[in-house]
Amino acid sequence: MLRCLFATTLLAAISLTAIAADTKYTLTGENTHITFVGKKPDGKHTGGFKKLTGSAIIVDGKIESLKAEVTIDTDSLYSDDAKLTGHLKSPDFFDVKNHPTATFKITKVEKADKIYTVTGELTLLGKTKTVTFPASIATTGDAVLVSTSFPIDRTLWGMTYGKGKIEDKVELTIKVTAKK
Amino acid sequence: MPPPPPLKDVLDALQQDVLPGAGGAALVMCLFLLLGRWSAALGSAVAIAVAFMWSNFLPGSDPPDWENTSRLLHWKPDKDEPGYQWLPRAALLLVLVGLVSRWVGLLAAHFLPARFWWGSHVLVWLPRIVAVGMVSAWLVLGNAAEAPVWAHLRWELIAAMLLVWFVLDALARSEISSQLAVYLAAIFYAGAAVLLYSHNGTFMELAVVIGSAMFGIAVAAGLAKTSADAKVYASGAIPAVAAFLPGLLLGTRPSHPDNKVPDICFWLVALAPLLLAPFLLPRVSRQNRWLLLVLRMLLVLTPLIVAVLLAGQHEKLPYEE
Repeated sequence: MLRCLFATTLLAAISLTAIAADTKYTLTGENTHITFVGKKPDGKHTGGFKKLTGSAIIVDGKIESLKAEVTIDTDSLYSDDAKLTGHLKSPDFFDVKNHPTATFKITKVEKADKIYTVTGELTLLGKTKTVTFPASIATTGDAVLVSTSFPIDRTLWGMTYGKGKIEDKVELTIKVTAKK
Repeated sequence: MPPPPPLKDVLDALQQDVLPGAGGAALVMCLFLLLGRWSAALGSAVAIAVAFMWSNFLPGSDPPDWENTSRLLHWKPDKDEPGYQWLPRAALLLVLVGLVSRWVGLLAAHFLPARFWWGSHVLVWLPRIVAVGMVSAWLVLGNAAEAPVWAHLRWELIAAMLLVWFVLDALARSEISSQLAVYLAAIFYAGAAVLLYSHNGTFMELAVVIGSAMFGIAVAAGLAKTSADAKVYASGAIPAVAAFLPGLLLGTRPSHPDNKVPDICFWLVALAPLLLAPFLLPRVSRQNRWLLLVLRMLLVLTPLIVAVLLAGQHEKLPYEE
């Protein structure tokens, strides 16, 4: 009887330790800001997405173990010009009526000097491509902080409208301040 | 009256849409006409395909592949891509079915006994109806077209495509074949204006490309038509028109960004060729040719002008804003 009680207690303790080691952070449009800058020869425009949902998990406090998945509501797209917002939602760019969501999934995080190299899969316009970018990631108390800025080539996802007039490279900036 | 577009935009459209479309189609059509007038129908089919491929090709990719060398529409649509990405494939299938069914029909008319005269028509139109039914399923793919408000879209497309094909096919095999190509160019250009008012850059450019291709075919066919009775048929390109005209004007509506252009504008342009149907009647087509020319122009241009003006009353062009 005692043996059985001991085994049960031990099993419960191990399970609790394992649960406690996985720290889950909920990602929303309030704590995760995804913005972009598109450039053309005579200027540039900024924009972003207001709504997204997702989660990030860090195991044992090790940032290299970070796994995250974010689903972006493409219809929540905004920009610095109301008419441009409408055009960006059209089939010329994000085609939000046919592709209401875009997703990003972090698959690997590696330490690289003072920052981290993040590898993930970005699905846009129904196409999934691997992206790798540098990011500063830190955990402070009950929050995880991520900050990164990197260019992507929009034509790789089939967003070829205005090639030659609008630059292919779009600067993406992601800032996360998510609590447990 | 809207202000003229910026010069840079005009030059870009000329370089990317008009010249490859019209030049490519005219060049191919001329090459086929060198073989003889018998190859004109086949030539016009190849011409519109080459014009689209030339305009849609995006140079400068390293390494070039299927994904990064398409400018307006993807060369190979994925199975879950929206209907408009399937337009080139739909047009290609209809062009192939159109050519083969016509040849089969000609053979049947030659070999079938006189009392089975209807047999050749069945052999021509049955495969075409099946093909239209098949491609209409592609053109309503995608999340946007699944909304209940678009439940009838497939049937609208089937009806519009078959009616347009039926009327244009008969006219394109008459002596006004090259003239018809000019009317179709005007219809696509008007469609481009309506699509521009509804803030659809890609679809507008596609309409310009196909319109320019028809203009190129018309120029080449017109040059080869040295006498009034020398018929040069541009009928091979008609199935592509039957796919692109309703496909672009009606089939892309679920994907359009929010705009105030009335639905009637798209219908007026998409069904404009049907106003030429009375000219299929022998009694009408025997009238004075100048009278017929004026009548045809009036009948085609009137709905186009109404559509563009109406669109302009409800929306501004992107460069006006």
